[in-house]
Amino acid sequence: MARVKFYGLLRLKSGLAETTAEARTVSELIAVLGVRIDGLDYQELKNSVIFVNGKNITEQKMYRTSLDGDSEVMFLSPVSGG
Amino acid sequence: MATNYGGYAGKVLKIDLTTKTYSEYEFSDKERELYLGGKIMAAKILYDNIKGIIDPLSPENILVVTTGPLNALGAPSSGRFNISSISPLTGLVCSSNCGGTFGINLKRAGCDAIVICGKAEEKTLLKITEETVEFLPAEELWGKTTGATQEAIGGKSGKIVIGPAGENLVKYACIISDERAAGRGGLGAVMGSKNLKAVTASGKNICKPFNKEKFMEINKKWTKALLAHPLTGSQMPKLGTAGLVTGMNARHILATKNFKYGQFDGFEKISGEYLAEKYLIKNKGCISCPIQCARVVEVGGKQVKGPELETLGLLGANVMNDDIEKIFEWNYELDELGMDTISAAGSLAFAMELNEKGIWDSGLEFGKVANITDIIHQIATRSTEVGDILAEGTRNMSKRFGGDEFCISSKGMELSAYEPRGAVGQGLGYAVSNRGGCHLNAGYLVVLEGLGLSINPYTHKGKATLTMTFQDLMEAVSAGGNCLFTTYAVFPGFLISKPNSIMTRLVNKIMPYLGGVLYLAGKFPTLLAVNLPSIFPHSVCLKAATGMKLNFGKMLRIGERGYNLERLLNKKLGVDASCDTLPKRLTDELQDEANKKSKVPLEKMKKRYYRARGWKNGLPTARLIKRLGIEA
Repeated sequence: MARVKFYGLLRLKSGLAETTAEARTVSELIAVLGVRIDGLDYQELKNSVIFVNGKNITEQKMYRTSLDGDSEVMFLSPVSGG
Repeated sequence: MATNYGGYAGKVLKIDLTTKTYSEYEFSDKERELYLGGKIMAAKILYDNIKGIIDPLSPENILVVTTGPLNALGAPSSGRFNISSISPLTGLVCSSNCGGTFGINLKRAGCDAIVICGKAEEKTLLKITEETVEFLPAEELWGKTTGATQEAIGGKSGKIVIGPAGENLVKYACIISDERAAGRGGLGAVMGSKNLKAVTASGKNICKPFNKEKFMEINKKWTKALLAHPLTGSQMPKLGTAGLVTGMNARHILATKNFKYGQFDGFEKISGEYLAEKYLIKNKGCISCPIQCARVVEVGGKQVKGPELETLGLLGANVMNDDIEKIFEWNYELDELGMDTISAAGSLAFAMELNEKGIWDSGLEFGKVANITDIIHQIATRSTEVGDILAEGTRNMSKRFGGDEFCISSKGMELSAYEPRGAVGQGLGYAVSNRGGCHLNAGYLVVLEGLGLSINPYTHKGKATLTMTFQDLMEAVSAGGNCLFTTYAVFPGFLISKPNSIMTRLVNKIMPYLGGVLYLAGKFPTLLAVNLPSIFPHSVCLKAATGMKLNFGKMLRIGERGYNLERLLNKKLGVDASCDTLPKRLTDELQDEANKKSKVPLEKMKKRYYRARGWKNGLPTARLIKRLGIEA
């Protein structure tokens, strides 16, 4: 089971900080979570900033990035400045 | 002297504290066209009055408070004003922008700016109205906190005040207006050195836009656009700048343990999400701002301003503290005592590392929070040796104890919370910034290097020209009177809301190679003589407000003029390329041993930056000065 964490507006909208889910890729994970979590839909998760094991999926295989039982996935809403 | 341009009050006042006199300071319409207002107008006034190296705490120094043409007109996010002087922290030019109501009230009192010089013989309160300037005794206000001072003055006037830190000449004392700070560079100490406790402004003067109908139409559309944008309409109101902590940690740019690391294990407990879920009472903002990014939290049963990202990072991760309630408390105390949270936190972290290395035992330790409140008070009052030493800032501490390589400052100003080895363009900006270790004067490239877009944060490519362009752009926006957060809309919404799309990834890949295009555009400004109301409404709004013939290219040129003018002033104060440095920790030590690019390649970027700017040895050439129309 991959460990999944939500940050930014995704966390405020879903009221969920953390969950676990079974999935082989990021794409599968998004499909699973989009159905399961109230307040978050597939498109919103797909358009998040996504880190798998501390690395942005844009530097990996995007939505085809593999997951296993030890994977930690972070979903972040876009950030800005201060 | 009146003005033919709309938006301005048309008057600049020179106030001499030594002689208790005041007179009109000449600032022509030609100068308004060249320098617009805000920090650039202040740079011009400082440049004309400061002849060479001075003691910033002597009567020779002047304090310039300026507004921009958009202030007090009701344009979105324009409730701000600027204070500039020669900084006691750096010895160089310093500007600090503030969201309090003083600026608007200054224009109501009929002034675009005030130039305060000399030194009062007694503790003084200046009262500015449309009719007169009064020099009132302030003996009873002396010693009071910033909140108590404003309460004691009372009334509905706009106020700028200092607290005990400014009175005691703490090198990073700030100036407070309402609960907002002109935080950086120790300008509160400049007021203190002049025996000036507070200034109030009030009146009924109404500044009018040149073309009211057009102005209103633009503002309506602009406000709508800001509310619709994912950053300014959603992220910032809901999470504030505090919402950055998590993303910074993920990208290895959250300054941790005096900038030794870029990630903090306890980041979740100092994050914007944690603040919003457990502590946020409401959000609020400056007058006329639709963004409302400020946080309201509770400290000791009182509703107070919550900490910004810089404060959360530097009083959290950078001192290894994950107790957010302590940060709320220190943030409030620092505001009340009148001290910059960034430099205060940087000085604490440096002292902690000096102690850890066995160099100086101040009693401060990473992760130990019990004595920090006491030490903050000791700094403001200089009541103990430890407080007195910390009150001098990190550069002076390092002169005394050593530790240059981990003294995290640039030109004597402590860096804000972005660890630049995870965003090297931000590192270049910190080094070349006129103000010193300020993220905004640096060009704020970290927004492109991870926080908004995701261009390669470790490459030097393109960073020099991007830094220059963003510095100039922000300089001009600030001079006009807008908050810099309005520039987020420069990035089309889809680049932010679809970070994984092919288009966004393409933009991220291409952007470092746009350096040449930006360079050419800078050389031939007519290429940019266009208005881009959907992404840069500032120029059309200012055009309607003032009646000046402005466009995007002209705004960039005004910004460039301002940045170069500040550099020329710094030249008088002894600056050249040798001053554009960073501590060795950031340029020589890898942040991540496994990533050979995780340090700031400063010298390589500096050369390109100087070339892009047209500088030699870090200074504008005579040819450039002539091209910019600066009378030097």
